[in-house]
Amino acid sequence: MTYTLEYKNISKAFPGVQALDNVSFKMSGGKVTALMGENGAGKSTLLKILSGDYQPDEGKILINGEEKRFRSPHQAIKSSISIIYQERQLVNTLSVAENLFLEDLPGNRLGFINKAELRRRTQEIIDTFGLPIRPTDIVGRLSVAYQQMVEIMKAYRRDSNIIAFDEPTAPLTDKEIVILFRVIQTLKEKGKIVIYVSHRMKEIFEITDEIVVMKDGHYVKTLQTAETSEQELVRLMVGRDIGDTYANLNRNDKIGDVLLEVNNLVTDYVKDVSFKLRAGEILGFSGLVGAGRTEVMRALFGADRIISGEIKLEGEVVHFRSPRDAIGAGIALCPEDRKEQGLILGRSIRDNVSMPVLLKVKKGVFLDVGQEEELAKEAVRRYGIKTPTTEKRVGELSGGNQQKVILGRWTSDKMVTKILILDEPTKGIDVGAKAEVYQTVCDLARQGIGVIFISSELTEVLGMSDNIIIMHNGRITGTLSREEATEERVLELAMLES
Amino acid sequence: METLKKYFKSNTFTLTILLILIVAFFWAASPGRSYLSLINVTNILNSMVLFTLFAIGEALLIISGSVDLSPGYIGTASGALMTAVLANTGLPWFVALLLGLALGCVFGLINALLVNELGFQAFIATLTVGSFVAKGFAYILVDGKVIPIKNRVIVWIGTGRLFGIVPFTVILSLLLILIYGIILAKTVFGRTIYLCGGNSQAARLAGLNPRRLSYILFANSGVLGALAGILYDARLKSGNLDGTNNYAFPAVTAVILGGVSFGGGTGNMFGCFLGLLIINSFNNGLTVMGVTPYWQSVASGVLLLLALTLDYLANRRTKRIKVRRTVEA
Amino acid sequence: MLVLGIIFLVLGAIGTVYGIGQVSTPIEGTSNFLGISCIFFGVILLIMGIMLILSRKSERWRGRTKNVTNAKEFTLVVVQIIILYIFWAINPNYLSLNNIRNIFNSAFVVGTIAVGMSCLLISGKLDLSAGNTGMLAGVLVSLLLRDNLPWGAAVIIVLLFGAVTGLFNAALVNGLNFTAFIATLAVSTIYGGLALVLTNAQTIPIGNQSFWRLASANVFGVFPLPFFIMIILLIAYGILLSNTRFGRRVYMVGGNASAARLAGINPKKVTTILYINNSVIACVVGILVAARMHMGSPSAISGSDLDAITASVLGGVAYTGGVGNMLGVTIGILVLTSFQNGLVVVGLDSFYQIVAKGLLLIAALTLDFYREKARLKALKTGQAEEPPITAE
Repeated sequence: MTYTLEYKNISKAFPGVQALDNVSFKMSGGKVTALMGENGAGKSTLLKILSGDYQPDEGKILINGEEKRFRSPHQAIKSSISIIYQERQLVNTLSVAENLFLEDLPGNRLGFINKAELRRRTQEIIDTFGLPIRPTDIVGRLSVAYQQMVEIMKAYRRDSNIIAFDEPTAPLTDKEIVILFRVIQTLKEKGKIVIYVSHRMKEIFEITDEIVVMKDGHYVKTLQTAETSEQELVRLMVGRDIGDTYANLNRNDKIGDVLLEVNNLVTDYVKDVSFKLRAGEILGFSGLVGAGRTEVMRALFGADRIISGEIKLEGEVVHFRSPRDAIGAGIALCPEDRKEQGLILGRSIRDNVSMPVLLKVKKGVFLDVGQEEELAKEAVRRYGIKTPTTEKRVGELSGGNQQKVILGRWTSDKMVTKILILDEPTKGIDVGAKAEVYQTVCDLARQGIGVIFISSELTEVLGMSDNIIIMHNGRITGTLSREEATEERVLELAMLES
Repeated sequence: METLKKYFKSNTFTLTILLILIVAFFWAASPGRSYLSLINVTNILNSMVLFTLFAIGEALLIISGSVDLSPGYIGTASGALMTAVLANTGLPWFVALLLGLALGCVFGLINALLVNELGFQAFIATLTVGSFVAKGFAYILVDGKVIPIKNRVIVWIGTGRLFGIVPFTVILSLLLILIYGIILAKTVFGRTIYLCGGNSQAARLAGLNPRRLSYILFANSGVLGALAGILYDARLKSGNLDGTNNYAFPAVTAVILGGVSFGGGTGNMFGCFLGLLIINSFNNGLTVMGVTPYWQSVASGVLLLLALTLDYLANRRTKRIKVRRTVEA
Repeated sequence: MLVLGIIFLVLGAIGTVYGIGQVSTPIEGTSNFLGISCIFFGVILLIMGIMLILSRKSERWRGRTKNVTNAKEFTLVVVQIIILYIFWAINPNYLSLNNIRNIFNSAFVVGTIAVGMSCLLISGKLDLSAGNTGMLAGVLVSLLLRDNLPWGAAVIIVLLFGAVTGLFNAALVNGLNFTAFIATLAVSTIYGGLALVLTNAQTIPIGNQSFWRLASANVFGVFPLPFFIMIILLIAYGILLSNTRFGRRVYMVGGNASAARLAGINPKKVTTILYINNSVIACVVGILVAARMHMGSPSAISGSDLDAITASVLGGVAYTGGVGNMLGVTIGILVLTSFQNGLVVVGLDSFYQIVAKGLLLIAALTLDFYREKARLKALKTGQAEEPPITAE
């Protein structure tokens, strides 16, 4: 018999976002099914519901026609479901063998581990994969690529009937990808249900049999891989109106002088990075996750140590020893991880807006709350932040409104922001709010601010940027102008193996 | 009207009620209603002085997301240094006093160094510096003996009364908590403490300097601890081996009880003041009722657990409200 | 490298031979300080020389030498040797049979508590109430014996008390999510106060002679029972940690609680068991100390929990969890107790001893910090192409 897995009328909402809306589709064993869609389309949420991490608001999951409810990850594992998460779930201080057999180490009834058996069985799996690692190697000392392979072996070891891969190849090199695909092939031949989530078109067409397309939390269509093309897929994923969003933007057409010049920047994480940013320009940064985009910006902002290289601001060489220096010079950074690095969730909108200009809102030795309040109100008005008062805690706002609070912080009257760095500004924001953020960014560019726009969403970078810089493995692999840039060229440069 | 409503919902309101209940109970139960006599109230305030000094330092540190377990021991060491200097050298009293305070500052900076540069967890760093280094240092300074203080000024600082009624130290401690309360609530520096405590990474990326703040606050806690230790010795008119060793912990209790939560970012001085009042009137009540002083140690532990539980419940409540609100939105 | 090895070898040989010559022809009335020192350093140089030459010659030996020198225990053994040598050089009585016995005997309190404590530390938690729990246990047992309970019953009741206190700690930390150190510190003050209340700050003499035998009995005629218990516990928990499923779970929970949870392991269950275990062990220590002193005292062994943490951290247990083993802890206990004993033997004031102990702990933690940093750096430079390691 063949296994089947069916999502039936699944809905799931998070504060401010309808992550999944009445999603139904079916997968069966012996096939590799791709889940495709833009960021925020709901792929990860689908997986997390399958893993028991999230509970659906409505709908159910059927396995072999039987309804299953997973209240914890443990129950999902017991029902023969394994998921390879993007965030590796490994115990870094333990050996490869122990990580593979985390929950059922082979041993006797007294609880004593049979170490020889453990090593033998681990070695078997390693041999199946053909990797040059030993069962006794400590996981934390392996390279990230091998760690990822350990995570994959862990799922393989469980011999689950349903195996889902969430962006498994992001940290892998070509060599391991070949191994991974061979393993997936075996799993498929064994009749398992394999779910494969990836942004990489090449892989999708190489390994999968059918493709489930998602968009904005909706199920769009299931395609047979052999019968479709990249163009069709992209059209379905992106949909018709996204192109319009960018076309309707009121863009800046007057690009001014060079504001920022970075020459041969080297840090612990990036090598030999050089680029220029002009006033009023939106400079896109593209590349895969971990390509070093965020790290360049952190170094630029004085948050990470610079080993060598030169940064010129309006023609003058500058040395920032801390973010404070950078802010003083007119650089602002909206970090990728809004909640961890951008905002203080437990404090009010007012506190979050006035943070970098506290020293400018004083009356004598005291803080001038009146002035602060004006700043916050100005931000709320300018960006249309939906809130009854500026006293509201930022943690209680939706993602889009949180992003606006950060924008409000950096563009308040007391700031002299010349360069605005936006790292994944639309992450976790729903479609409507995205369009608002885009227009805001364009407006800022029109005021002569140089904007650096980092995004993993290709359409977004292409739609927003005047010029696009593409990074791979800590290096810049190419620069494309708005006219030259196409999805294919950007992707090609982003995956370039040096 | 709005502020009144806010007050009723706040944690300080609960604390006020708790304080009133405790006071009412002991007042009714104390022999001859002596609990609220002028003498006893002065007693309560007087016993509160040292705790207040420790609590100020702790409150700032805990709001900034850290903690300090060493100031009690630092106080002992500073007191010992002052007495040793007074007894063995001809230096004037204010030099001895300043040396004591400077020692506290140095210990505080050592704490900050271990936490910020060597990545120790705050509690283990401060516990080590306090219970080993500072404690041993104090022993060495007084050489295991009790050294009497003969300097009149120092003794007056410890025991003098203004207008013949109010002890000088009480005025000093109330003044300090008021000043620090204003600093915390009304100044840029105070706001910085809250912001860094709420999320130090985000604060750094917004141009604040959490590391410098940590140094300042640890040094501040050390200096306040030193001041407390000096006052302790001045009150007893002698340098003492154990001094204020056991004072910092009840201060942490008071701070937590006063609504400052571990993890940082929340709380205020008024709450801490109420927390201090509650603990001290409770302990004083036990004494007035004739309960052995050993129970006070038990009581302070139980009170801390109670404080933590209140904090836990309050957090859970706000979390629930938050969830409900976001679902509605 | 080769030249260095040969130089070491030659110097070592000369030193050893000279030293043996000195020792074998003793001059009346002088100690053999110089001779023994020569042998001591000679042998060390010899070993180093051999290692260097071997690792130069064959790949396999280089791997082995590296394995040995990279092990956390290696640094500790070196530290231990230095400690032994320095204190012996100051006062040769330090290595007399009698004093070695002393060291082992005094290791018992810290060592036994360190067994339970290091398990907790590996799982990412800690317990600052262990010392006072033990103290209260001693007081309780003396009170029970005063009421003429048979000592067996008294011991069992106190051990049950230990289990309950452990459960209470676990409830605070796991159930109510209190920070472990502050919750257990609060519990610690409560027990300290209770001990004072129960005894009225007096010691309570124990007259039950068969109870005394718990501490004075010798196993195999050599080991005092408490010391024997410590050794047994160290070995048993060493095996438990490295060879059983439960033991490995302790590491998983401490190393990455979320991974453990996703694999169906309940971190709270594991730490609850460890808290109970830790308190019961603390009570065993309290009882044995009461038996040794023939009284229950409201000040005994209070504070030994900090010493136990020091010993564990010295022994390579990371207090952030997930790392450490009982071999390291055993050496850590040895280093700590021989260090403390050495300070006494060389006649240092007890005041300086406190300071020295603190400095030792700070040194241990600093060493740990740099070791971890070096490890991360090696990881980074080894695979420079990787994205940054985010703090986990």
